[in-house]
Amino acid sequence: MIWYLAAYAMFWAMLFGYLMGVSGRQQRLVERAEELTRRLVDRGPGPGRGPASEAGS
Amino acid sequence: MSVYALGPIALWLGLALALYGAVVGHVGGWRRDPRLSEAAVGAVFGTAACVALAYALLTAAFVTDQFQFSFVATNASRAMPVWYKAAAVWGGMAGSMLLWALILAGYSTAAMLATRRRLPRLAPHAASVLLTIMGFFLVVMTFSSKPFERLDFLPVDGQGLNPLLQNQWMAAHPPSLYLGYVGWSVPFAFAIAALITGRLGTEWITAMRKWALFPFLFLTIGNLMGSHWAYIELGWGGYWGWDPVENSAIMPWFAGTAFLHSIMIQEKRGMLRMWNMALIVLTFSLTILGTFVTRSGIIESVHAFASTNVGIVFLAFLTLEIAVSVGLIWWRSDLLTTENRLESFVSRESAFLFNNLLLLGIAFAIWWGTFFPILSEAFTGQRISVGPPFFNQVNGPLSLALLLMTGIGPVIAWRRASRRNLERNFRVPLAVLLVAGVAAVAFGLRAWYAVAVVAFSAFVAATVVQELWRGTRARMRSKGTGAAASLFGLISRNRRRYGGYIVHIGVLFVFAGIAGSMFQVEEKARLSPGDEIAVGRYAVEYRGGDIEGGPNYTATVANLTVREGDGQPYRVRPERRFYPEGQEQTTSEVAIWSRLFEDFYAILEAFDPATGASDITLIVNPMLMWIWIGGGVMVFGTLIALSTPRRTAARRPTRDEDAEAAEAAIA
Repeated sequence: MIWYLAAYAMFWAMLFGYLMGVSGRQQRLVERAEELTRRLVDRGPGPGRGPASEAGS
Repeated sequence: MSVYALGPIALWLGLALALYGAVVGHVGGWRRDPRLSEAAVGAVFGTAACVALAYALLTAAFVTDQFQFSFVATNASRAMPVWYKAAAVWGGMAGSMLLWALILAGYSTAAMLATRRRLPRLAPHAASVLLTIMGFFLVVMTFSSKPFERLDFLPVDGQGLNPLLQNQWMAAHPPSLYLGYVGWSVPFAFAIAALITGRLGTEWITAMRKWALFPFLFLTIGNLMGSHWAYIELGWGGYWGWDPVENSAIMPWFAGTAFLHSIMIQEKRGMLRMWNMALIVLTFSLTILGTFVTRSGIIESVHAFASTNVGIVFLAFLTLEIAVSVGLIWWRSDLLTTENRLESFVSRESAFLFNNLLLLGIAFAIWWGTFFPILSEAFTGQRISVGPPFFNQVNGPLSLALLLMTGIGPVIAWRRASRRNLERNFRVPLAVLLVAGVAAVAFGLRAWYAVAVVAFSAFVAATVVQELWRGTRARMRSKGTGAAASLFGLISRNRRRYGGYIVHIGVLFVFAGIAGSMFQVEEKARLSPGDEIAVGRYAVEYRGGDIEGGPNYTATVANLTVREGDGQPYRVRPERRFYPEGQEQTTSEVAIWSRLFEDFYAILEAFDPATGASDITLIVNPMLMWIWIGGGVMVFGTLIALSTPRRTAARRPTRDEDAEAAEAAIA
């Protein structure tokens, strides 16, 4: 019986870890996309404008 | 006084009867007082009559344009066809609550008629539980979402039903889904009755097998109809978008399927008693959770009703239901011990247990993805939604493992499979698996998931065909009948078993359809009249657009001629419809050229009347038809399993019957 409980616990632990991994990756992708969007908005319209280019000039 | 004044009165009277019956049922059952027990059953019938009257009045109000009622004015209009007016009853919150109550009333009445003589100890408590659930819905309809609430003025016309819902599949989808959702109330009620009375053997399981097959059947049909509606009405080329409301409808299906499988272990071997209790509580809880998601607006969804305060009431009911159920299971944990133990990993019991884990694993993965916005907000402060890639990635491997178990479970031996048993049952199917896998690669399939689906499906099909062949051959020898008659006789003799096999064949077809969607081809283009475009093997010519009128809408239509290779041209006409009344909504009416192995799917995105040009999306969906065929086969198999005569239902001496005999002897 102990083997079944161990297998049962292992199944749920693996599934939980897998779900955490996949959803965490998706979360990082969303955060990265939001960061890129924010930086694009900060740069404003037109080439060579915004904080990044100002810092470089 | 208008006849419609009876509507709220019927709901109040129903609520009073439900509360009365809920109390006397438990008291009567506990004291074994037949008069009180009968009173509870009578309250079930009385409540059902009240709810049926309220529903009939609301339907009449819709059909006869009684716009003095807020709910009618919001969800119907004079121009709507009468069929959609009747279906609009469940197009909004209050009416869908009433439909839920009506279906629960029907189930409760049928369950009491079927069981009050057969299960006299359980029926009064079950009546109480069913009336408590009914009471909850009646409280919602009398205090919060009132279907008969009047406006201060009389509008000339109503706002009309959401155009997206004006579709025959959408009209039929909610009743079927509700028949599935609500149906789980009956096995849940008898499980609670079994916990209260301590009669935890196979009695309630055996009695509830068919009552669990009904909601399984209707959840299957409801989900299929919903998918079909999404495919033909939402206009994005897919059939399942992993939307929170869709997910809420599929989670109880997985949990309920696990329950249907694991009760076989309890019937056959007296095992998994606590597991089965937990499963039916989980399944019922998921139906309430699904309703909570739809009504509360807690998670954004294209399907959900507007955010209302009803969500918190559902959450409170769900919490109370889980707390009481878990408390009862805890209280009866001594009686839920198993008669037998698992003897080997390599046995049918283990296979079914693993199948259960996979089904629940899929349900849990769907729950995780659905509620991830809430989970992420709780832990990181940021509300993030996971989309279809998450669901496809996590459910892919679990579904494949489940597909494999579909072949292993039904043929592996009980208790402990010997080497001889394994060789006898799996030699041929494993050979078929290998041949199918190699053939799939040889024919050019490269996606591992698709190859695995082909190989595993072939394995499952081989196990089913092998079982049917062996049974038929044995019958041909013993009865001296022909192959067809023997096969028919075999299935008739054990409809539960072979009905299950047919459901498994349906699952294979559904898998084939899902795997086919991996090979979808899509093209988007702006086309002027006379332009041609190629999509996969298809040549498509745009012949300009038209503007047409409908009963309550105006449509722009694109005329396309599609030719596959050198074949005959086929005309498809995707539309965009504008509904001027009420919500001034635009919908996409896709055009589908549907065939056995491939669908050609056209969407009109925009039409410019000045130039005659159209923005069009064209999609080729391989194997999609097999999802609907597979669904049909699953429904057919379930109907066969449901048609089992009562006398052939599994019978074995139970602890309950022993206890009953002992009680009778003492008396």
